[in-house]
Amino acid sequence: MNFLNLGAFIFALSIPIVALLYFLKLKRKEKIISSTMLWNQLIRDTRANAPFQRLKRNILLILQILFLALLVSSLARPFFPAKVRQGKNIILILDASASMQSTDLSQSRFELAKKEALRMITDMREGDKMMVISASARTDVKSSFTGKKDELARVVKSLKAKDTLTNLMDAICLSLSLVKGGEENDIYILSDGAFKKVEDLDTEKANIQFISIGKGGENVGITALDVRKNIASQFDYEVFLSIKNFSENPKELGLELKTEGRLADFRKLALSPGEEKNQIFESFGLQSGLIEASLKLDDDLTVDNTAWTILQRKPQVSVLLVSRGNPFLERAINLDPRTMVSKMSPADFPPSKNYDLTIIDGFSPEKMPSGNCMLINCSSSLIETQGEVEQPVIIDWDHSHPLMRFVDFSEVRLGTCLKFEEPKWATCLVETDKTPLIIAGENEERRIVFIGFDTVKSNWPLRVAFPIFFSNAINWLAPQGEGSSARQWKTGDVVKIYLNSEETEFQVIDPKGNVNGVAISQIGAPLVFKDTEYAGVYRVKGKDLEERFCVNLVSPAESDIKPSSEITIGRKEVVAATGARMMNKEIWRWFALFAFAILIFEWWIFHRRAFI
Amino acid sequence: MAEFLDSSFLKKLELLSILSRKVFKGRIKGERRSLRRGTSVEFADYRNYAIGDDFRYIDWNIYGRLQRLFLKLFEEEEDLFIYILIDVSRSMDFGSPKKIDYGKKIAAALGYIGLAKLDRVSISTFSSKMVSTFPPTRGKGEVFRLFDFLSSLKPHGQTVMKDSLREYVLNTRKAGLAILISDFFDPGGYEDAIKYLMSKRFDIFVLQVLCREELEPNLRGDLRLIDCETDDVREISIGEGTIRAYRGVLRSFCENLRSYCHNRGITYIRTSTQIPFEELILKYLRTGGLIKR
Repeated sequence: MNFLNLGAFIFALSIPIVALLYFLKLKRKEKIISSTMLWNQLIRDTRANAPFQRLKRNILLILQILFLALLVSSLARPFFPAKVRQGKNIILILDASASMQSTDLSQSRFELAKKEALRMITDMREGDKMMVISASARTDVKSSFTGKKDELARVVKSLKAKDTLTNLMDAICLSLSLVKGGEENDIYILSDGAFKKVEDLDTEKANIQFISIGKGGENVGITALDVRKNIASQFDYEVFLSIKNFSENPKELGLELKTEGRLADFRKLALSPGEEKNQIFESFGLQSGLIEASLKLDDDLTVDNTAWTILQRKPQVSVLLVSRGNPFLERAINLDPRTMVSKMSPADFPPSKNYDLTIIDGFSPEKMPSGNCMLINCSSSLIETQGEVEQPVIIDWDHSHPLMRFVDFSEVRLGTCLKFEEPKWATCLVETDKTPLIIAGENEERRIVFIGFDTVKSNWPLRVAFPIFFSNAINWLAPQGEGSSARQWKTGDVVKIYLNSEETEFQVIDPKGNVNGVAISQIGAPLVFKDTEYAGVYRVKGKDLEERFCVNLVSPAESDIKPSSEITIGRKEVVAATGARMMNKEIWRWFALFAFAILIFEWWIFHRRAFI
Repeated sequence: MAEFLDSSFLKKLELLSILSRKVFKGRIKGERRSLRRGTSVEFADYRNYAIGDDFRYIDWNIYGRLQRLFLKLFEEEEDLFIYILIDVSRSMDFGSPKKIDYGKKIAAALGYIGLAKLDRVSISTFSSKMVSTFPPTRGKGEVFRLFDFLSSLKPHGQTVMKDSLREYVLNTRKAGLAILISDFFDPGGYEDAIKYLMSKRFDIFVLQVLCREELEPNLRGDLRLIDCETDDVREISIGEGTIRAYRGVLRSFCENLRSYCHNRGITYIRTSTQIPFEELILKYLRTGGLIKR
């Protein structure tokens, strides 16, 4: 025999209580009188005459019957279907993305989500445990499983919405990995549903509920911002903007462009519902610095109304070419206007100063140069060569790598190439039938490209792929020279910037004014910054350096703030609920409590012997 | 004696005498005028001469006028038996002042009046049965003994009037005036007891003595009432309504007793220990017809 609810045995304590009550009598004061004759007469008269007294004996009977009825009812476990939020283990995922900052309701969606979360905390029953997860671009577990309501409430109240996209996949995966097998697990997603479908998840372990927050959505947002070089002019740049109306009403707005805080241009736009318009601002030839594009209108989400970018006009890439002479190579490198090429013969290597990029051609250095480098037809401590291969045939190349954009090796023929093993840190970009040919990767925080053959002894320099490859290589090896896009990221991205500094310790100040200390491993290594939760201009400060980079939302998914009534997780569509599901709410406890109260009342009536 | 009555009060009592509505045959000439035709000096009536009557009582004046012989009749002086019955059950030992003390005082006063008027006074006590008796005594000189007897009375036992008075009636040979002093809180009832007295042709006078605690009980709350006689326990929760109801029951009880007595020609007086004793004797008992000047 098993018991569903062992805790019910606590009610067995009522048995000695009832027994005690049976022997317990109402404490009465003793009074000696001359005769109880008249009092007995009084009792007899009132019993006979007063309707209440006549009823008194019946009242006891009624109460006893009522008590038994309630007791039996409670044993029968009465219930009624009710909406209850229930779950032994509850995981609350709060969407803290940019769209949750929408103010389509009285408060921001995130504040409403927090309120809902607080209400769910209050509804927790004895034995329930809850975990709070904040989902934005990153998933943060804010509170591990706990039943302490005040602690959970404190955590929820401290949550803040971010300017990032929603990465719900990670949050749900994490939640599913944390659910406890064999117990009741509920996962509640408090969100506006403005995220993409979450695929490939087995959601059997837990009951997932989606609580939709938000009602409507009147929003116009910047969905793209870029500065690019004017094709016609080497020195001119143009600003490209994409603006979309995500609401169901036509919108008229102003578009303002500022450079370093000064108004550069202003346009009036009219967008019909769902329309996206591109705007190009030209002739930034002599202007450089911080460019800010902002939409002037009242909508429900303001974070996507402004975007920033930084226009860099100075050549950034200092290239050292260590070669015995390779005119093809020299020409290919000089083609890129960003580069400032210095030549050095192998005998003079190593250089006295640092360069952004070192290209070593046909010379095996004893010591690798600092910074990013390209090694052509040489061996080094990084890559051990094992002889040569005659007449290698190129069989395949990586089409997706940034280095290989628009590069075609089908017509490239080689005489010989070096035989080597592809190291673990590298990706093979071009391979032959016998050995990898070109590899690229990151080793010890620097990027390396290795070309395993003498370019002169091939027809590659005569192919259009040659200059394209080297242009791609400079872009990849010296990313700070990419122009404005090197200083612009999306919220939630990991920022990696190369700083022209001899320091290793820097401070990064975010748009909210928070100061973060960041160190780089060595001079020339990129500065890596992960906390890009807020859109705006970030400042990097060093002792002799002050740089900026921008982080923008620019996400059509987040700017489309129309709330969803359902989300798809795995193969399942989860319809938004009020956060509750219908289930049998048992009320036998109330019956038992009431029965006990009746018992006490019956005892009191019996002993009270009240008269009118 | 001072315990009961002070000397000034005794002086007042000497002016009083106890009234009896019935005339009883007394053996000794007392001060009481008997309705029997006797040989006293007080002319009462005439009757026809019969052979053998005493010639000294022939009224010669009437013979001279009417030529017929008539005999003079004279009032006979007789003594009255006054039986005072006191309830000495434990219920009488209640109240402040105690009912039994009050009853003793009444008995002392009435006994003094009777003795002063050369009536025969007897005092008997009862509870569940007859307890003690002060035998019929005559003369003022017996007053001290009477008072001593009263002083010695101690309350005990339960009230069973029927058995007590039945016993009393069986042991009393001569009828007289019976003064019954009690609270009448007899669970068995008083009716049979009074009937027994009536069967002996007593001239009954009922004096119900109650105390303030019975008339206006100061009882409130959840109480356990204990009968001081029977030790009967009654648990009761008393509020204002209950007190009102109790007064109604008491009133009804007393009214029933009064009615019972009245229907049988018995004088009923209810008194309270709160009524000053002198006022009871000099005013209420006189108004009630038990005492006269």
